[in-house]
Amino acid sequence: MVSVRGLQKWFGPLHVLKDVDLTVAAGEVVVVIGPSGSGKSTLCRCLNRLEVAGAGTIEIDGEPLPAEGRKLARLRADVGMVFQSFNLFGHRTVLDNVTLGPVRVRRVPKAEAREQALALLDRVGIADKADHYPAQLSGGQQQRAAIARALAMRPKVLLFDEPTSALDPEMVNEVLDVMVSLAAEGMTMIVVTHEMGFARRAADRVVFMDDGRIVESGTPDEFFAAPRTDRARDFLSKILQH
Amino acid sequence: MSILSRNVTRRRALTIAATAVTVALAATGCGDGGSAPALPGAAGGDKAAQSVFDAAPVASDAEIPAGSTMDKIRKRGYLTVGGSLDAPLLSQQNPVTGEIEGFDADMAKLLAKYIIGKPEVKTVTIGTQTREAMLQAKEVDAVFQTYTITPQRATQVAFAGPYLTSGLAVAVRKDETSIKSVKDLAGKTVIVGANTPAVTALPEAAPGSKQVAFATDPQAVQALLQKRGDAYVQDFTLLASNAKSNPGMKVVGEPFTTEAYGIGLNHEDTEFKEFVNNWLRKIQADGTWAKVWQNTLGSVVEGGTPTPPAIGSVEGS
Amino acid sequence: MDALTGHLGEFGHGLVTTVHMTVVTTIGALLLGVIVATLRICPVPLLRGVGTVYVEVLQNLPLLALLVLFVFALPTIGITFPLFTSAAIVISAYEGAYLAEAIRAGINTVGVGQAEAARAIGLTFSQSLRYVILPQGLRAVIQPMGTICIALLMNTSLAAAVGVVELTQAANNVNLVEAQPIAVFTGAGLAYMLLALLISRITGALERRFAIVR
Repeated sequence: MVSVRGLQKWFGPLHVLKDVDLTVAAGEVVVVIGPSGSGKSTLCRCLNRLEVAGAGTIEIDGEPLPAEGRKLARLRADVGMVFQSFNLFGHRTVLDNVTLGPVRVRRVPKAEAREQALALLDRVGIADKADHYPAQLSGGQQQRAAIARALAMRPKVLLFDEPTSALDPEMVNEVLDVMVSLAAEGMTMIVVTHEMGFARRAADRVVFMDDGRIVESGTPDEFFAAPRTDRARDFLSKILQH
Repeated sequence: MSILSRNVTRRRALTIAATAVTVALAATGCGDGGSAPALPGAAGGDKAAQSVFDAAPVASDAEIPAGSTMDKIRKRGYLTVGGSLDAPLLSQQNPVTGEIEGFDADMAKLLAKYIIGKPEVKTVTIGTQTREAMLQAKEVDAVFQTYTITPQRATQVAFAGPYLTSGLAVAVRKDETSIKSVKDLAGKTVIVGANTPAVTALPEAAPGSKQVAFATDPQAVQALLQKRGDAYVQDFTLLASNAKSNPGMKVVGEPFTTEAYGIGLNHEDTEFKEFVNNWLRKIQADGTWAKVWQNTLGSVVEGGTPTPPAIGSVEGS
Repeated sequence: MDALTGHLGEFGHGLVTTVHMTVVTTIGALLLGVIVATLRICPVPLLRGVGTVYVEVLQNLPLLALLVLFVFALPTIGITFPLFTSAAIVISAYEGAYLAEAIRAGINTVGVGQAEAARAIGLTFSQSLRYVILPQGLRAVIQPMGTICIALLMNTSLAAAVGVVELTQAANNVNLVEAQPIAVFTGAGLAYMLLALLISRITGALERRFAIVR
């Protein structure tokens, strides 16, 4: 479903992605972990071209990522993204946030889009907030609305860029629960996160990044029980101490 | 200009630029006259005017009682005049010498000479909207600005004079044949100068005409040549001077109104008004008035020097 | 006071022209403002340049000079618009440059995350502008845009210089007869003040109506 070959990315003199290869199969859930500054968010943002790669190829469902323009917009419609800071459209109600893409991009009739949106909001547990504005919702509710917005496009793959990092601790689980259920239903997902619990429960594969490279990759059981590299071991020991 | 010049020859573009700049600069002025690019009558006017000032009379001390306005002006050393800098033949600043030249300007200098002994004038440019207020507040001693005497204005200010009479006339493009006088203007679009007597006189003289007002005289001329109107109604002398420098237009028929211009003074100061009227009588009698007329307006108007108007002959003076 | 009451017809006509001119040019300036602001932030460098040149040229020339140029220079290359139309085009273009800068400031208040989220659901550049960025950016600058509209109202008086008899010119014409500048221009001034007050009331109402819950 997603195929990355030899991806390079510089921010000025900073070499943030160094020859990254990654293949994600349809229905697979890949969790990307690693210390901050390791390039995992940048990798995620390159996949729908919010960041433009310096070199390398990215293919989504067999199609190479197009350059700027209508074709790219069409591709992005197939690649959902959930942001750390939610980025719900502040001037639109939750319902309007969810229907905007289907109506304007997919040309779904308004009534139909509304019906689907309400079903999605119900699924993420905030159907009663449909007519609220984003600022009237808690962080957890906003992030669930953002997931509903991404799902409304019926994406082939969903990208999560640290979806729980901006949340108060008591709200983290309500978001993770939604993500776990999505994973269980066979959605193709690439998740950048620090939530090791989620990785254990839902991931098919864990990818560990450090200093712009993929250092290690394996099933959660293998990775958490017996990391093969020193850097992964070091990282795990730091976050699992408490 | 780059957008414009793409479709025109370079020379044409330069002309447009020059016209536009002249017009733009003139647009800020809004006196009765306006300005024209050429100033007929100005050539050699300096020397002629100077000899007139040299020969002009000065008031005796008996005519200037202590504490009077005249006394204050004499002590101050100059006369403060409200006027224009952009009215050709009447009151226009010579761009080379900086002197203000024309009939109104020369008259103001002669009054200064009469009071002070030398033609020292400080000119304050004022718009037609502010003349009454400037006189009431005594910001200026006198207004020389083709200030038409009307009964309504006479309730606000005092008018010495009339010191000049003129009238509105009609100018048209050279190739125009259907308009021969003001009577032919019904149903036509007529260009006038904003804030000139034509604005109110035209509807009476030519009912059914449509009026378009432009801020300055060069704009009005330009508008006539660009066919924004069928005719241009303005003071006869101004039209005559325009027609002389602009082969594209001509004056048709005789003036159809009589405008009597007065020297605007403070409404309460009857002593000063009497003084100015006496001075006017004196310079009319000794031929000074005729010389000033010949040096200025006489340079574009054909025919002999007119008889100066009788002082106090108009309602409001 | 007779100077005012005796000429209600002239004043009324001038007032209608001023309001007509203000409404037409506000609409024109808003359209131009949005277009030019969009040009200035769009991804194509050439279009960005066009937007920048537009704003720099129009903001750095006096409106009166533009008016006179448009009315008197264009006919020399064979283009003549009616006077009211000419004035409306020039004032729209001029105020459009100011509105464009206000709108651009508004767009800059919209977080970069909003644009990313819009792109991420597949909206094109123009769609994300139309449905996400502009609606929020414009709301942020309703107040300054109202101020520009009031300036626009005052600037319509310059149309008098090119033969449009609006409120100021009507006052001039009345004063020509009555020679009562204080009464006449106080009357005209009050009319402008009431119109300006009306604009700021509308601005305030729009601001409340479109307030974004934060």
